[in-house]
Amino acid sequence: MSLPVPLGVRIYNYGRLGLDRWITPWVSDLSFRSVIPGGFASATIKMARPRMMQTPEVITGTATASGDSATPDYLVCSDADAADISVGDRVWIYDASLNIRFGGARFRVTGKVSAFGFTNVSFTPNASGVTNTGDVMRAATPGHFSYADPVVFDELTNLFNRVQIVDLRTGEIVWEGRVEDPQRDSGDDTWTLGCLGAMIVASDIQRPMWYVDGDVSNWSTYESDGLFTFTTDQENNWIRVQMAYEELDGGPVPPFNDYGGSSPLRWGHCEETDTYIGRFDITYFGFQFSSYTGVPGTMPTNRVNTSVADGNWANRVFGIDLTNWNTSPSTRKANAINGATSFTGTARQWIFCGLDATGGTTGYVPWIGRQFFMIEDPRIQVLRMDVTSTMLTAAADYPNDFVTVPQIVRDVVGRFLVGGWNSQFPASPVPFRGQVRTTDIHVDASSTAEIKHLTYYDGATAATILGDMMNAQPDAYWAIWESNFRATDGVNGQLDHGFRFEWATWPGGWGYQIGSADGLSEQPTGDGIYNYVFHKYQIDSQWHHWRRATQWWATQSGESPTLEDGSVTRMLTVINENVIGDTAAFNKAVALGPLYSKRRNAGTVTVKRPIHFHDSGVTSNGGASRTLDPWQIRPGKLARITDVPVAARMNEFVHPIDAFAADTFTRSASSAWDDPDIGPTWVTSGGSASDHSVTGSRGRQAQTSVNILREALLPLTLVDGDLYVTVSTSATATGAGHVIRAIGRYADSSNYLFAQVHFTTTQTVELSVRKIVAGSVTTLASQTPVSGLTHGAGTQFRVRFGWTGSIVRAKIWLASGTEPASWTVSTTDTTFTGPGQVAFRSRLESGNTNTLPVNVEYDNFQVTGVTDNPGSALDGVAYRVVATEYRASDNSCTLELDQVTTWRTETQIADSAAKKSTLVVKG
Amino acid sequence: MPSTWKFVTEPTASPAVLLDMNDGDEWRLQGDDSFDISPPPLRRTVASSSLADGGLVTSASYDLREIRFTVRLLAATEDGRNVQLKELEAELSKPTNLLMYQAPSSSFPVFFRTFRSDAFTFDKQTGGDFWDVACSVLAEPFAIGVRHDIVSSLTLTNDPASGTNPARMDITGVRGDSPSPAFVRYGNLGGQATLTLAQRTINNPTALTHFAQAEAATLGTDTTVATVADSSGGASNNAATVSFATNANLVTRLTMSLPSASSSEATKGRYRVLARVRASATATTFTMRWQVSGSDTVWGPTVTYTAATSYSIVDLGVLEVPTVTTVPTAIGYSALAATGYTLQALQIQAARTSGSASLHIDYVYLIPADERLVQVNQAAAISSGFIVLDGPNTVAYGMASGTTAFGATRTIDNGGGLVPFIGGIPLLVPGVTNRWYALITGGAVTATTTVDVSYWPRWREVATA
Repeated sequence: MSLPVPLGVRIYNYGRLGLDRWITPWVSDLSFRSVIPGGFASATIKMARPRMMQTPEVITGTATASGDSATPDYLVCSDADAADISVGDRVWIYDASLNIRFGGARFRVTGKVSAFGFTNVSFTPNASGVTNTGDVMRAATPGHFSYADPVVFDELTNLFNRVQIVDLRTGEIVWEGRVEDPQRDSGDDTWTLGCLGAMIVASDIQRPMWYVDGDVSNWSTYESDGLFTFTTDQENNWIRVQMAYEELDGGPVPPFNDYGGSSPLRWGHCEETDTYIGRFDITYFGFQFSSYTGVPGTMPTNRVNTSVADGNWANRVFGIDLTNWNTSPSTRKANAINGATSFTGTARQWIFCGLDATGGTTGYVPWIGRQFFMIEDPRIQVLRMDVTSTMLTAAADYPNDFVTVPQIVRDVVGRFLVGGWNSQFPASPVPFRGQVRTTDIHVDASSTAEIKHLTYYDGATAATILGDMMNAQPDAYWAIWESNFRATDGVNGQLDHGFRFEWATWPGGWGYQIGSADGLSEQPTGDGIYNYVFHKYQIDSQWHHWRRATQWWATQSGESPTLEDGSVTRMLTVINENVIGDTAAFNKAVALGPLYSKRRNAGTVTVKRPIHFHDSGVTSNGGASRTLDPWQIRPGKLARITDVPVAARMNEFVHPIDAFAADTFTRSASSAWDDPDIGPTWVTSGGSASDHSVTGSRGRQAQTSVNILREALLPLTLVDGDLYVTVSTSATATGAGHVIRAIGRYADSSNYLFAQVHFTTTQTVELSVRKIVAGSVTTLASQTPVSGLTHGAGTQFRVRFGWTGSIVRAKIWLASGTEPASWTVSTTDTTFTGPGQVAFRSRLESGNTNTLPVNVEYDNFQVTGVTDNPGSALDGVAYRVVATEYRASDNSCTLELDQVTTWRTETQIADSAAKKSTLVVKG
Repeated sequence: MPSTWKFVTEPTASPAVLLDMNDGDEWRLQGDDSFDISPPPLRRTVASSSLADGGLVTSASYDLREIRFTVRLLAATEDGRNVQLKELEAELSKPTNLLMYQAPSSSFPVFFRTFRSDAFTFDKQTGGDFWDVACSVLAEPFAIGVRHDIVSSLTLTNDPASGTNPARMDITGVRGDSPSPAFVRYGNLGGQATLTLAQRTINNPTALTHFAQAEAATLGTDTTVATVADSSGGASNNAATVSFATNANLVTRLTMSLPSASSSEATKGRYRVLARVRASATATTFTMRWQVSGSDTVWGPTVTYTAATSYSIVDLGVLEVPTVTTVPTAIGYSALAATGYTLQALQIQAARTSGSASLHIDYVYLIPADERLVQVNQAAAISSGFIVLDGPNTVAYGMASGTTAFGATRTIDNGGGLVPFIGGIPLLVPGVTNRWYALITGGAVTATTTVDVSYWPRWREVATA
């Protein structure tokens, strides 16, 4: 039985899509590698020298194309070479005007007009009547010995500069890159094609970039006639401008009336990096006046008409009352990129800080050394691009005094990866090589990190910036795949190319199932290893009291048990020598534990067989559930070792997520909730049909009657789940409360588990976890009320409800706040352990007297969980697959696994907060 | 003892002879143990470890073979035998050659495709007036047979819902003992047209229903049945039209039972999900994806479709059936395959991300992607002629009008462009029904194309047909 690996190797030309050549028969070996972050990395293809291929011969001659039907197109070659061309030959022309050496028009010679001329070479010149001169290349006869000259293959790789490795069964591209380094080995007369994958385009361009500058040291100080002195405090990030003269009188004089010329501080790096300012935010302190008494001095008479910080003259900020500025800061914000005042000229590359009292200033007599003004925490944002390479010039594009990860990622794509990387070829076809098509871009937007300083004055590549963004969003990675990885858009058939860019988060659920047939090589697991905090402290006159705490392997319910969650730290020791009863250092040490979980070591597993692959497509633009052969395995997923006993989580197995639904309710629907963003269609019931709607931003259950439950059921069956939702009601409760239930394991309307939020008539908020069995409700745990929360009309609360095994727990907090670490209520119950659906139910309690309707609204819902009962305890640990390397020689793919954590060497950390304490991290 | 053993110019029944090594006169092939045309050895990949007994053979491909034979040179004089020896050396040293073999009682020749070989033993001591030359010739793993034109001028319609061969055809009676690359002549596709051609031979392909009219599906949000010109399904010209009137998000527009089968094991497999779509106007952008929803939900990739007012086929990516779980090839050690799979409904989701046009969905077509799938693009229009998918050479090209692929006039005509392709050209499998699936983008739904298919049967050593 023959079972050949169904891969083919195709070399083709990016500039001329019609040029391709399949070299599969000549390939003696190949391997290719993909990595995260990055994507397609490198490939090595070893092939026999293509003696049998159609290789082009270089023939000296001139090709002339008249483009005029009255004058036939023809080729003219030198005498000797003309004899080499025959009717029926195919030839390529070097097109000097387009500077395309091999990618120009292709001819088929159909007749001779003379010994040196050939007619009917159907070819379209770049312009009518243009003569194209240069090398003429003839295709050799198949099977014929081509030139023995070793450069022949060089010519081939120039002609066909891209390489694809293709799954012949599906047409999928399993690897793509460009021929970068062909090498000939005369020993066995083979060529080795070194190829670089798509990720290399992220390193092709380097340029200075200032996304947001929040460092005062990047401001230049400017002294006009020695008027000022400057003090810079980089640690606290401020610059103070002080008067250098004893007295300044008789204005208007600089700096009071000459903003541009005398402004003591300025920022101008946009000019240096050829960018423009999008927004600036500066905290500004004015004259040091009232704090100094008994000293003569007069405020400028026109102080309320004073500008303090401008990106340009037209956009000064007027109307400032300086008297309030000496002790309390005022923040200046300018976002002057709209309309006629757009920051598009060179003047918009500068910011000046000073004072300008237009209309005259008199009588101000400061003292030498007194503060003229001070700026603190300046932040200047440059204009960013969108993924389409379009400059973002709307004020709405700069809503904050910081930039976010997705904003920067989108800029990187637009600025570095879309357009212009190689414009050697004409406008069609597009995209050019190296481009990322905007339709192929996925940028995860979940990061809430606020980036307040990000500059690359000495230049950065896309890879550099994206790498830094991974530090800002540790659960994300970037990759560039070839766009045909999973699908084409059908517009141009299989000829679509360019790359598919992902800024994606690591999935929460397993992607690859791997078992004992695939050898696992790994570092020792973290069995029995846990954060261990050892505290030596003093009580009263005694000391040498000890206490300890441990941090067990702890994951959030429903999360995949990657070893990173284990937070492995061998030991932290805190010694309080003379701080009586101080627990701060101890608590800090406990909190430090997770910081020491990032040490990663590699494990590997080599797959030589088909394995199962599951990608929910939630965290990236993918999505599939299928069987993969070794060559189809990519990094960026979690691999689950299904039957290798990995001791680390043997006894607390958490089934990985395999289901997910989410809804931001950014749609409109009436008498229904329709389809969520992700997940099956909502099923609504209770009350009137019209009580159920989606408003464009929230899901609504209109309580048009009392003591009637309105229900929204999501037919997503989960055994274990972790649910988030934001809830509110449109009025405060009167007569009786408002009740909202987040439900899991819903079997029917009389049997389920739920977390209940109760908005009482006294505006307290109560939270409980309950069950309803055969219609009878039992409270399992409750918090009445939840401290710190007050209900108001429209006040949004964030609720989290988790059910895992017998554990049932919930928490609630203000939606505008941050999630508390601990659960508000938590208990266990074994009544319901089987799978059930997810739902929301709400009602006005009996006795409620609110004016109807009261609208119960839901927003930002998501639920993750597992759809079946957890497997055996041997069901394994999920590892991140950070790199894959396929080798055709043994049809195997080696997966490099991350998150195999080990312990650290001993480290000692000075703990400034814990006085006279020593914090030691061991392990 | 073979009756035919000669180097020839082409694999035909009566080829021109380069060197007959068993002419019954001065050349005689020895019929002793030195004659060896045993099948080639296999190269194997075995997944194995100490964690499991034995191993799993995950790939096995034939290596090059070594053909051994001894030929006796019987020229009357030593000078004559010298000439014979040089003639033999000349054929053996060619980079490639074709060695014809036909046993005395066999009706069918085979042809070994050989490579340059230097290994032979020259023995002129055995007899005084003859010399024995023992040869070892490197050859491709398979011998080939005489070309078989298995499909001739078959009319294929581009509408999966009508015609004798509705966007598919069945090929039976394939000769050989191993799959052989097909040589396909396809009618002129038209400029910038793309042919998607796939093959399935396993899982009872004739029992499979692999496409569905969109208008027959369960219609989802903002989706209605409307008459749209050039739609599949005959005179009704019906399609499912998504207006996006109340919801422009990526939500379910169609739900259909696809694939389905009269014999349900036939649904198992891998498919590319193709949707034939157009828009009511341009300047609109849509995104689409497939979804299989059940207790777990699986999505395909999100694909962008830029509105055009003529139909095109959008590739929504690969779907594996059944989804979500791994299924065995047999139930335990029973050797019994699953007789069916409980299927989940296939849903097509669509969003309108810009513009105001409606989206018309004509049909959804699951094109198998288990064995071989190829997409061929005819970059430029040619006046007539046809397209060739030359499987043996792994190339595609156009041929001019008036040309016959194997006739006297064989003019390559790529119309000023070339014919690139991606994927694998079908391999015809002997002994089973080869179902081919073919769709052409850009053409009218009523368009037809003429298809011819030839191949050279592959045999490991001897032929039976």
